[in-house]
Amino acid sequence: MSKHTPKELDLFLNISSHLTGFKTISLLGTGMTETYFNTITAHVNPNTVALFYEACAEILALDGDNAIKDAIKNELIPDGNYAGLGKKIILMWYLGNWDNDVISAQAYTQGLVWDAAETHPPGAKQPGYDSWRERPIKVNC
Amino acid sequence: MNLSYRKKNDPKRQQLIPEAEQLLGSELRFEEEILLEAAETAAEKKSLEDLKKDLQTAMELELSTIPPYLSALYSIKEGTNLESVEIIKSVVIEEMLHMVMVANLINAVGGTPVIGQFTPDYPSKLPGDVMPQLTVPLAPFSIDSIRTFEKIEHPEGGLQFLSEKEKKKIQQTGAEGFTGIGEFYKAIKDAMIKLEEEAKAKGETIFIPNRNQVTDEQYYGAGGRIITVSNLDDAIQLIDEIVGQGEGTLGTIFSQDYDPQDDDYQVFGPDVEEYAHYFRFKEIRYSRFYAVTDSAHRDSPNKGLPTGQPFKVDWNAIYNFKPNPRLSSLEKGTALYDKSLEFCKTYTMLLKNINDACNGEPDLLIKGITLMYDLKYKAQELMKIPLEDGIHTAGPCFELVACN
Repeated sequence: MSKHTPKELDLFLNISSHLTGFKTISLLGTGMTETYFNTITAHVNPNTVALFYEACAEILALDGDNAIKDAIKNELIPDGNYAGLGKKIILMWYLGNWDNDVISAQAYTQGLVWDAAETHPPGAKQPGYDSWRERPIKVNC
Repeated sequence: MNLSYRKKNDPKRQQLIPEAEQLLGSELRFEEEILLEAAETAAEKKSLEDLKKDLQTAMELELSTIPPYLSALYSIKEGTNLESVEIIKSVVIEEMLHMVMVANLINAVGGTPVIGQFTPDYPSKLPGDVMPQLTVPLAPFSIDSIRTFEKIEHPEGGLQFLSEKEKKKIQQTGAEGFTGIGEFYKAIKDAMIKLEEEAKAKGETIFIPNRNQVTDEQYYGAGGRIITVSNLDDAIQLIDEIVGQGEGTLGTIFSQDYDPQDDDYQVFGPDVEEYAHYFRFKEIRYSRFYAVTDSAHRDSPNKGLPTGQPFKVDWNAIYNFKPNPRLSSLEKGTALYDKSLEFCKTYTMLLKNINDACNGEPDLLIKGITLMYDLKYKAQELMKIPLEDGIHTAGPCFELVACN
């Protein structure tokens, strides 16, 4: 995580947590953080990206979850703001896609959509023969 | 080439003998020899209870190799080191098979296998006083890790750690503890044969047929065929299979002179499905497969080393998790603690599942497969989480936790 300014990568990770509803540690556990951060850098106008992270810094500094939620809704989600980056980040984490293109084989496998649906990516992360007959594993013991 | 699959020291004997041939005359004579040898060499008088205890330790010994092998395996980045992944995977599934087979044996002699009450606290010695010089850590895939695995599976066991002088002394006096996994199993086999002889003399047997056995209906496609035990023949076959797949009894490659005519040490190549674990790990360290012409003997032209087709080993394509992860080193209530605890719970649940399967509910084993996969994905997830030191990632703890 040293190639980029840690500050922006950090902002990306933290805002992603709010946007996706997954804890930062779960996002890190996908191993995709840097790839997705770089995907944005590669596809979006640098000025827009810089403004987006500035806005993220301000929003994350707000007091309380509700204030942050409202600010995200008003500032980052509308399609016209920051080239629609807010929504694209959500789609990227959930589907491993950027503009309907799969970012990488790992991105497909690590999509949050599978965890959210308590299933697995077809063709990868097999859960074992006959597992479809059982309820998804819960280890809340 | 004269393929002598059934010779005593042949590491290929995991290739199971077809049942129809099992009771041929030569095999019977061979069995008699074993019986005599065992009666003479069983060092101390062991009771059936002692045997059960030793078998429990054997099962714990098999279990103890699994977390180190899995940790190295899962640390390899996806899509890299394909040959190494296949080799380590083939070894680890055989260790799992061994564990369940020992449970079958414990059940067959009237005991109760207990899985999930014990797991080593890594870095750890091996259970059963086996190779007391060796400490086994949980560490990423590396040359050092593979060296450690070779030591665990070394045909000469603990003797490898000693000087020639010390070795002679031990061989003359009879050592305390066990020099290797093979020797540990040999002691069990000898005691078992002796106990059965004594029981037979009284018109009894120590074996109970079809008691809580896990069969190939529940355990298939992983590491070879599972052996169920109803009598002494089965039990001997089972132990020979474990020793043959593991380190083998190729200790003779270190004590006998090299003889180019003796093809017992030429056991490699495309026709041989799998060879003893020790040699498979060696292939990784030398990033070459054994060639069909290679010999296992260290004084052979190839010095016992693989000279076959090379393959790529990328020691850097790993998740560099901090060795020997422990729950106790994490701050309670942190996100990382919770993730690690979840892994430990899955591990605990898996062992409990195997325990129940080996104690009368064999069908549960199929459900366990889901837990095994889940364990893998959780381990890989932890290994992707960077630690604050900027060097390491988090890793799986393999600890037992409260779990009902």
